[in-house]
Amino acid sequence: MSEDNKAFLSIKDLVVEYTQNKQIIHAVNGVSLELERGRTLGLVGETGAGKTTIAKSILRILLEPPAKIVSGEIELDGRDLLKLSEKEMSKIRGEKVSMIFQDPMTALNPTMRVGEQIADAIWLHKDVSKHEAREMACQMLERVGIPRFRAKEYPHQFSGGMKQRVVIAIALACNPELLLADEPTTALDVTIQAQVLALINDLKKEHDTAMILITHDLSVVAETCDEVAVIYAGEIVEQGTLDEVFDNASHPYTKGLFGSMPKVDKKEERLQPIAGMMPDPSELLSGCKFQSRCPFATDKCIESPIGLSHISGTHWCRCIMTQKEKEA
Amino acid sequence: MIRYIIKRILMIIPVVLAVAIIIFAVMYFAPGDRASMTLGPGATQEEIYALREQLGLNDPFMVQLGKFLFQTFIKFDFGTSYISGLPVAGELAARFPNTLILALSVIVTQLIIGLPLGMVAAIHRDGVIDHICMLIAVIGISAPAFWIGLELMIIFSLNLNWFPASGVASLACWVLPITANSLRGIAQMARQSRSSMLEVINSDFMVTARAKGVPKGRLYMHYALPNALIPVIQTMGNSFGTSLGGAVIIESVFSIPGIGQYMVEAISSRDYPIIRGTSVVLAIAFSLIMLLVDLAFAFFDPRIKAQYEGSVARKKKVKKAVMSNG
Repeated sequence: MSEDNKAFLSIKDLVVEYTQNKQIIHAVNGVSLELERGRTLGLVGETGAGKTTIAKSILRILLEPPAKIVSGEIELDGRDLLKLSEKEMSKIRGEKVSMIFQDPMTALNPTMRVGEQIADAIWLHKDVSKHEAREMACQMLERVGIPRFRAKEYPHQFSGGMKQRVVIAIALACNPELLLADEPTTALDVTIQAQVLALINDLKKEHDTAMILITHDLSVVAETCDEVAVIYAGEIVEQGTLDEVFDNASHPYTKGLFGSMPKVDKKEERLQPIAGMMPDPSELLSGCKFQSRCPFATDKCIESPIGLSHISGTHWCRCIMTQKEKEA
Repeated sequence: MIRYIIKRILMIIPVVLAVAIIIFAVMYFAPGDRASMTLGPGATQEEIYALREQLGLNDPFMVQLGKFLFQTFIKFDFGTSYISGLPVAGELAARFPNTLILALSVIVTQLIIGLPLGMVAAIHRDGVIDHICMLIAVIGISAPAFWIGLELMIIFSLNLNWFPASGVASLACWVLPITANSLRGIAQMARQSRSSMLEVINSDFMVTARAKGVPKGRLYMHYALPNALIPVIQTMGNSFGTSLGGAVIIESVFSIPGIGQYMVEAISSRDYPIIRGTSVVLAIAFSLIMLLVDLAFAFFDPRIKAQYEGSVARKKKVKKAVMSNG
């Protein structure tokens, strides 16, 4: 088992780059995270912020090249996943760590029966016969609310919501200790979103699974997460428990995210979007990455990299303003 | 599925009929008179007329067409050659296997050499192996078959004396023509399977499969290959088709008595029964191959199979499954 002072999952200074047309794209720039068993971390940020890249780095399923994990440590239960061989890694994938993908329409193999696709995950990791694995796959299908006779069908015979259930069934087939859910509800319609989230939550609770939920939907975070990390341009700009971040949003970007979301309890004429675009990830800015869009930006923000400053409890924020407040 | 197969086999009939009618019409309207060609420039008008009468060439178009279709499809008689006087059916029966061997060898070599080359190249994308495979493929596609045939003949027959240069007398005779004929097919297959494999490797479901811990070997053979094969089957069907009709050059270079050679000779001497007979046989063979290709599609792609089965069959299946599951 892990040492007492180490978290179940601990990511340290993860740096991931992509090479495209001989240009280096800095996707993840020194991300550190910790997560305990049974807890859910919400990874929030806009498209291209590096959320999926972080999740795929944990499983080491980034397509290399063009992607490359430059430096950092990803320790799961005290083992650095980045140092494992490909063979050792494939034993961890699906068994200890598994992932639910964003787009259920393309995540399933079109030429394999869905039952087989689930059974394969079981058969590869558990010491069971193919027949037993198939039976377990049928049970898994029933657990996600799909009648067992449909195990013999192919993905094209399923609706989007049902495909996502199958993807979830594959991910949960071996009761993983860590579940990476990459926008599991984005491709689904609203009526099914709640169902799918509830389903993931139930299955997660049964086995005390830790989960990283990647999303840009703050309402989903509020519903399901214990902790939140806000990612911007490959950096964590704010992190803390759900209450800390939601009640006391400190980073201008986080504030902006809340501002661009409609609220039920307040009557607002207009939403306030965050102006501008994320900086070009092929050019690393020296100071704060959010400077160009920040309404409070000063000359100091550009000068040097800004570290995380402590706000309260486990609440951290990467902003020059909170730094100053502390010093003052 | 069986209903679909029967339907497809029945659909071959109109296709073959149409080919027969078109070939007949083209021959009928093409310039050049069989009778005057046979008799030579010294023949009188009366002699030509008499021969035309004897060959049935003076009848109206529809009557000739009717006779031809009746003979071919009801009595299965392709007639006799104008020149040699031998029955066409017998010649076809003797020559068709030779052409078939050439065409089948393309398929087989494509499968056992071209496909693995392409797959290996895709898996090692942009690596040394990839570049070597694709270099071989480009050479294979660019070099004309007759040139390769002649080169092979010079090297392995004339200089080294390993294999005979012509004929079909022994198994060794086949080595050079099959090599020359298959090279292009192998190259095409290598390129096709590389690109389709690459597409599959980069697709989302392969990431899902890796994420659940499928090891490399199983990932490529079990997950990627069936998907990559779908466009590959198309290539195989096409190259089989082209090598059925297009083996002419190889057949001439290596003096193999095959259908292509037979047909080309017949065309230059206006030997109508042979042209018609070979066209009909090739049309039937081609249709059957395309049927096989379509069935292979259904075998590998459940989405296509579902279309073939139709909605009625599926509803029945679902009903049965629901009932058996209570």
